[in-house]
Amino acid sequence: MKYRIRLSAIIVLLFIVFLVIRSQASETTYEFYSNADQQTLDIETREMGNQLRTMFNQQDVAGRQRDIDFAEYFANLRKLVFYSNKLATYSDYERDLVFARDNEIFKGLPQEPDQDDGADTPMNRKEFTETKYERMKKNVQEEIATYQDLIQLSLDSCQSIIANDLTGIMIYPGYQVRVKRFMEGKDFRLYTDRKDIMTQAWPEFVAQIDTQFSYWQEKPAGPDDPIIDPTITGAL
Amino acid sequence: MQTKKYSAIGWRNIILGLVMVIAAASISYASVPSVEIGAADRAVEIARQARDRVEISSKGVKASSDVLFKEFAERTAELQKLLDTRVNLENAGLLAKDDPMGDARRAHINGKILVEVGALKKVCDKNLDGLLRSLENFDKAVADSLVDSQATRSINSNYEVALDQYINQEKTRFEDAVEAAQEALDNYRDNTDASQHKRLLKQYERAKKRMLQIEQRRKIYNARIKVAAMNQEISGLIREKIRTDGNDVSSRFRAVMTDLYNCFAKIIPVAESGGTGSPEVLANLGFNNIEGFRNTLDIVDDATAKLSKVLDEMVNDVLTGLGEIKVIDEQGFSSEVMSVEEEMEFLRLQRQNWEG
Repeated sequence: MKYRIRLSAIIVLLFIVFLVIRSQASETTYEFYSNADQQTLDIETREMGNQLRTMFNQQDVAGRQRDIDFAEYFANLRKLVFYSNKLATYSDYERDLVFARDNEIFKGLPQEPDQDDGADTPMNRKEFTETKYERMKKNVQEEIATYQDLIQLSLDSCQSIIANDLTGIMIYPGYQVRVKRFMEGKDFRLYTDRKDIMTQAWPEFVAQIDTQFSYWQEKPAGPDDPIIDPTITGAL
Repeated sequence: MQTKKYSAIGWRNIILGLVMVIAAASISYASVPSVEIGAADRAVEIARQARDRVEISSKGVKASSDVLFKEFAERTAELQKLLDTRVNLENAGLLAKDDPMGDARRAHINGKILVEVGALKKVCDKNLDGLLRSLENFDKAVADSLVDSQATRSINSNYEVALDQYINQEKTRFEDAVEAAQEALDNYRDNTDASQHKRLLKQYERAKKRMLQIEQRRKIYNARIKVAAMNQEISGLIREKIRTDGNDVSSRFRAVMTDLYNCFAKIIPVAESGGTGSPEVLANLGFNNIEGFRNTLDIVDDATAKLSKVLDEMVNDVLTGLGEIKVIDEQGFSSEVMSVEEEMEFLRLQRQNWEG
């Protein structure tokens, strides 16, 4: 009991000490301003002004903002390709499923019933096929809806960033290299291979995705482009 | 009412009963093609791997953001102290405009606050690359997991169809068995010849054992259907969690960082003016920027809490679903006394179970 009282007293004492130190600490800054002379304040203010100019450098902040914007854009650009490759699998799903149903080629199909118990088998091949067809159709439709949502989300993000390219991600060479490298990778190759079948079912997605990549492709020479490289003419 | 008692069958039959139960269980597992069991297990495994991948990757985000936000919190506390002091000075009339001393104090404390914001920026600069890298990995993990977990829907669904099919096939076998048992029992009851009695009793016992085996298998199929349903629920839950919560976590983090750097960018013209060494410019600052900055800090807090909440909810939901598994009530063939009426009732109940 005594121990408890002593412990409580110590805790209360520590708390009071903490409050006193805390109030003194906050008073210190306040008192500093109350007591400081104008000359000291002016000198310190000038020093802080110089520090600030180094801390908040326009190019540095803009560069970081551009890094964040590109990270967001690139993440969504990759998702566009990744999810499109998955969605392309279902471009002709109805025909595929109907074919599987009509030709009874689903996995796990019951064997042909024999004479003895065939008549009484409650779920025959036809029923099984029909049930499986219906369930697969529902599953596929849900998967398609998921991928469509995800592609739309990523498209929105990419389009918005490009439309308001405030930090200039499209003209920064480092990012162009990264996108170009991605376009040489296997995911993008698969996207190119599947583009035709994807176009049959979701042409509007393909058009919008292609538009995004067109921003990063090297432009072919136009009729108005100078015949001689301007850097060479400049040097001459 | 006709009740007949038989000599105690004893331990031999209890053991026999147990052997039958075990045999029935192993037969039932063997009856379901291993491909289908493997398929259901695969669905759960895929969902688990998807969840684990997101969790592991989120640890990277957590580690890099923890460093950032820990330092952030410390700087914020310092900033808050300065802002409070500024308010106190203002209230005490020590920052009065058009008073040279008030202007000097105002310029000084404004500069001090901005230097503190600068320290905050330094923390962000130091950790930004690491955070962006871990967010990129997290994004990739979420996308991969999302695609993988999509497959679980079809796998589980196929498994359910297969189990439905097996259970329907078993029902036909059960109808045969119950008919045979009924016939054997009727024969036993109607026959008064003692020599025939023993044979008919054995015949009934065989038919009953067959029925019990089928019943045992039914229980196991039903249990697997329940597990399949639960697996469907768990994998569906993981799928949706990853889709709804995981998909935008990285974007939210990046949005928070964008907001932060927007705040820093707002300070650039002020810093440039302050950098000219003119205290007057700092003295006239309004500090709307700092108000905006406070809002950003709220977002930072929310974003950090969000990731942790996503994982907590995911784990809790999965654990809640596990409570739905029920232990199958085993009923062995161990009675020592046989009553025809009781057996008739037993057959009726069994049939009712199937039809129900």
